[in-house]
Amino acid sequence: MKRSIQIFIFPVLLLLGLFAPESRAEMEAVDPAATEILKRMTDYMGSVNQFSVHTQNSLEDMLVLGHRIDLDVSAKVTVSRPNKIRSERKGDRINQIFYYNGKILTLFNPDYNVYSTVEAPDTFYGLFKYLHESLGFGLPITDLIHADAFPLLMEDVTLARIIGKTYIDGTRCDHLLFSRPGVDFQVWVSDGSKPLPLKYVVTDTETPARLSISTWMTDWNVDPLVDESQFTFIQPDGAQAIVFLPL
Amino acid sequence: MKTIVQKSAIVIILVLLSAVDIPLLPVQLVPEAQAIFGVRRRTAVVAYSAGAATATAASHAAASSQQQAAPAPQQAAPAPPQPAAPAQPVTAVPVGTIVQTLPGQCTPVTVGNVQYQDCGGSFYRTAFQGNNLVYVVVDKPL
Repeated sequence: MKRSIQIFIFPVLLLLGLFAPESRAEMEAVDPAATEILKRMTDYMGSVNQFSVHTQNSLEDMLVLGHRIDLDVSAKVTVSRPNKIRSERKGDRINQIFYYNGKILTLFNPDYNVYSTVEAPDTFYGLFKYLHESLGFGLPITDLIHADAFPLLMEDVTLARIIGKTYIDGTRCDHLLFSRPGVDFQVWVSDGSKPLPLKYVVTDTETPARLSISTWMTDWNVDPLVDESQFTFIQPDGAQAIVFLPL
Repeated sequence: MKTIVQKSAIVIILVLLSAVDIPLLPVQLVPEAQAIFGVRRRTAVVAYSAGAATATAASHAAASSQQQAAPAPQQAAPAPPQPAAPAQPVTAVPVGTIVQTLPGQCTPVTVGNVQYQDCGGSFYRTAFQGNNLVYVVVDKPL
C-alpha cells in the first residue's frame, strides 16, 4: 500500500513540475486589457494641445551607510504642443525653472541668479533625448508628454497586467503594471472621459536596492490659458550665465 | 491491492485531467498581487547576479520621467584626501575638482564678466552638472 502511494505520487509530482513553467509563462503574458487602458491614456494625452499639471516626485536614494531616503521635488509643468514646455521645480537641492520654446532651452536657478541657455532640437522627442544624452538630466513625466508615448512605453514590454481599481487623490482609476528588462513601471489611469495619468512609478529591477522614482500628478488642467511668452527666458538683472559641464 | 492500484490509476487520470486546467487557474483565481511577486522573484535573481550594481534608479529606458534630483553623490563629493601628493600645499584643491558646496570663507571675484569664488586661494566657477548646481575648481583667473 505504501509503495503504491509512492508509485503514483511520483508521476503526479512530475506532471505538476511539467505544468508549472507553463502557468508561470501564462502569468507573465501581456494582458491586452492593460495595454488598451495605457493606449487610451497616451492617445488622450497626445490629443491635448495644451495642459498644465502639478507633479510631486519622490526619488528613492541609498545612502552610503545603507539607509534609504527619499528626495522630493515639486514641479509645475506647462506644455504647449508641439514643442514648448516650462517646468518650475523646487525640492531637495533644487530650485529651478526650465524654459523651452521650440528652439532654445534655458535652465535658471533663481536662488543663485545663474542660468544656462543652449540651442536645442525642435521636437519634444529630440529635446528629451538631448537633455538625457548631452546635458544629463530629465524633466518630469517626459514619458507621458510625448504625443505618441504608447510605442515608446511598450518597447520591450514582457508583462502587462491590470492590478485593479483604486483611488488616487479621490479619483477612481486603474492601476497597471508593466515590465521590461531592467525596469518595472506602474501607471494609474483615471476613469472617465479624460483618461489622465495620476501616478507613475518606475522601479529599477537591475539593482538589489530596487529603487523607484514615483510621481504623483495633480491639478490637471487640459484647457489652460497659456501665455506663450512663458516658454522663453528673460534674463533678470544681474543674472550670470554659466555653462553645462560636459558629461 | 490490485483494486487499490486500479483506483489510484483512476485518481491519477483525474489529477491529470485537472492538471491540464491548472495553467488557467492562476489567471482566473489567483490575486494579481501574486503575479507581481512572481515578477519580483525573477527580477531579484537577475538583480543579485548583476553584483554590486550602482543605484542609478532606473534612469534609462522607460525611466526618463525622473527628475534626477539625486545630488550626484560620487562626482560631487569633496576632493578625496591625497596622501600620495605631499608636494602640494595642504589647502590646494586640484583643478577640475567638482564640489556641491563651497568651502567656507569665499569671496566673489569678477574677472572678464565671469564670476568666481576665491576660497583661500582656490578659485571656483559655478556650473550646471546635469541640473545640479556645482562648483568647479579652475586655475586662478587673470
